[in-house]
Amino acid sequence: MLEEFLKDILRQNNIQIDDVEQTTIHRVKENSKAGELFKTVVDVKKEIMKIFNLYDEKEKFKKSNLIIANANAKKYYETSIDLGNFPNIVIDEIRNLQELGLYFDSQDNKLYGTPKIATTIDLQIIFHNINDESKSEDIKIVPFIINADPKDLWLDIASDQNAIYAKDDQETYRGNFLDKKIVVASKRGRSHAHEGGFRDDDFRIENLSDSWSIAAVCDGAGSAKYSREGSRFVSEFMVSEFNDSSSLELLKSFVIKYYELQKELDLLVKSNSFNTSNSKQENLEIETIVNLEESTDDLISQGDSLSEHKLLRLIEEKELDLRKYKSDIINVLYKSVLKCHNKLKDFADQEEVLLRDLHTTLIFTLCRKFDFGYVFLSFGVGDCPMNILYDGLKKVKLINELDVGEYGGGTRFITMPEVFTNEIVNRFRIDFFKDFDKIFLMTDGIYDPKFITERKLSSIECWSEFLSDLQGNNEDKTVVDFANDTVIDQQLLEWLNFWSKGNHDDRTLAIIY
Amino acid sequence: MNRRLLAYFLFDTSGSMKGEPIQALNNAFNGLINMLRMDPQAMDSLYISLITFDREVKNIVPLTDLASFKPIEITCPESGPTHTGLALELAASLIKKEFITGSVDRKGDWKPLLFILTDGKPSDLQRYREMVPVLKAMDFAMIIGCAAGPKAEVSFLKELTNNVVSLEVTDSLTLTTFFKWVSSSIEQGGKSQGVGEVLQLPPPPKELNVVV
Repeated sequence: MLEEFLKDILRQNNIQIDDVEQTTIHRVKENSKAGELFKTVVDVKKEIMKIFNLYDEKEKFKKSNLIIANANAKKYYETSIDLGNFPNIVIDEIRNLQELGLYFDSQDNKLYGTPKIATTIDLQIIFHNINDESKSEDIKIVPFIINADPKDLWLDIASDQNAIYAKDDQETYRGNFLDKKIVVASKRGRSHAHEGGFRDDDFRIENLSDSWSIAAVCDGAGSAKYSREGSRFVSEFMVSEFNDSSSLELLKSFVIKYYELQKELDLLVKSNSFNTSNSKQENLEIETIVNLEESTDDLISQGDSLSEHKLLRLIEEKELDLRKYKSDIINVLYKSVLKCHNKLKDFADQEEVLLRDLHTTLIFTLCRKFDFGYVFLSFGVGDCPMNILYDGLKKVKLINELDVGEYGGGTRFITMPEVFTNEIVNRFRIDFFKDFDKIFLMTDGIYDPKFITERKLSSIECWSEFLSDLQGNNEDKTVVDFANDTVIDQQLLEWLNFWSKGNHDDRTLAIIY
Repeated sequence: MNRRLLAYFLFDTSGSMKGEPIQALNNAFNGLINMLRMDPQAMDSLYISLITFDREVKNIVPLTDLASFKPIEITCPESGPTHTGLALELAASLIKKEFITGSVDRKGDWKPLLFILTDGKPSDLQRYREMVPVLKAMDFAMIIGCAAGPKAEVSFLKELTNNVVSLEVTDSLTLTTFFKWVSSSIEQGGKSQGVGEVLQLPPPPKELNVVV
């Protein structure tokens, strides 16, 4: 080792190594002082290397991509700083933390606390190398993001009331409906308020002649330019279209016939020991609350005395009649819906806008109380549900079919010609209920956050939760008081303010109670 | 879990992007992220995935929610081909894996968005042309192509989408303008629309040339 060292020195001094020099080298190697000096040189080198490594590790740490997860304002935050690749680095402190509301625990390399405000800041990480006796400090800069609380980001900009098709940002209604009451609140969603946009939802409630009532709710498409006008036009059109005593008279007679036939048919089927027509029965999708025990005796006896063959034929005949009356009812409804679509088309032409600029969903239920109970004639296109709660709030029925796309936001509108095919028949429903507790009509601004999926709309457990939410079991403790209802419309409007991540659409909720 | 809006960004990082263009892209893209961070709607629903393509194709930032997204420094090799087709292939496979369709139990994601920025043309043209119909068949809310700089060929992007803009220069200002427009299309992505309908984009600012 010493020999190599010596040779290096000779080369540096341009001394050629021949035989004489080789002999000299041997003599120097035996010199004890030279040996001592060489040892010192080795030690010095080691020391210098140590100093190099110390600085090198610090520099590498400074350059390293240290990941510190983003924090969120007003939310507790905790993260460990991983120094796995830098075993000799010790973090002494992180500067500028306290004003953010954060703290650093140097024992566990933990950054924690609840940040007060949103900001983007360069954190100053003060550190030293464990091998550095002087413990000289160094600074590493790490960018750090504290996201804003989304609640603080929403702006509430009033819509321009001088703009074309202007609409109030919120609307409520309170009144009688059938022999019960109704409350409705409709509120512009945060996403629209943020841009000073309009409420695209709309609704109309009307008590018509001869004890008929109608409730219509529309949700204008967020992607359509004038959907606010589409929803206004459609909801208004539907209630005014049925404000016509002759067609209501006609519907009434069809409904009574339909109901009576249904009752007769039920008895016949019951008296027939073969459940042959069960499947057809389901096709009619009718919820009959008919007490079969109170039946008229003559029909039963008629049934008893009939031969099986004749009975089956009678059932078939009655079914045909029933279908005829169902078709009569649906045709009245269908014509009004088709008329609505066509009038909307005319309106679009007249206003020189595209029909798709007026895209809106529509649900309505036209209802009346008869001697035998309530009847609901309903229609729906789009993703807004109508539900009836009955049997002491123990049962629930979704009375329309939802158009729910497989990706978010995909639905159908009354403005789409493709809705008017033969399948439209399935969009109409006739429901009988001896009595009911509550009826709900809502736009997806409520349904999305509160029920999430279509399946849950038919779950009584989910409805119990929803009812309890309305009764004040919510984050804001907002109560909708059905018993003491002088300000129920304002209460419902306030309730509509609930917070739900990612759900900031317009919200409209109508409750018949 | 609420509805997510997935946005896939495909950036050309071939050799020709080295220098000012890549720096400008970094500035503008991180600027976009900061801008979106102030948008409450995006903060609630936006997820971002970043793919770079040169000789190699990398998903340098896997799908990340906006709140967790960290500033990024994209780098370029000295030279080499532009494997745009390979990038489309990776994007398609990621989306197939990551996109959640609606079921009876959960809400489906919003239709995804795809942004592709290139300053040249695909070197793997055969694969590119194989992938174009695959991507077109996927139900995007929108695919936006950006031909950045004088050497970018718009014709290939036009095969992929009708929404192509071209930028004359790739400086920070122009790219920022582009990304501002991108953010408005991200806003559009989170709105309800009719089955089978296409998204309407706001008109692009004058710095961007719409390619027809």
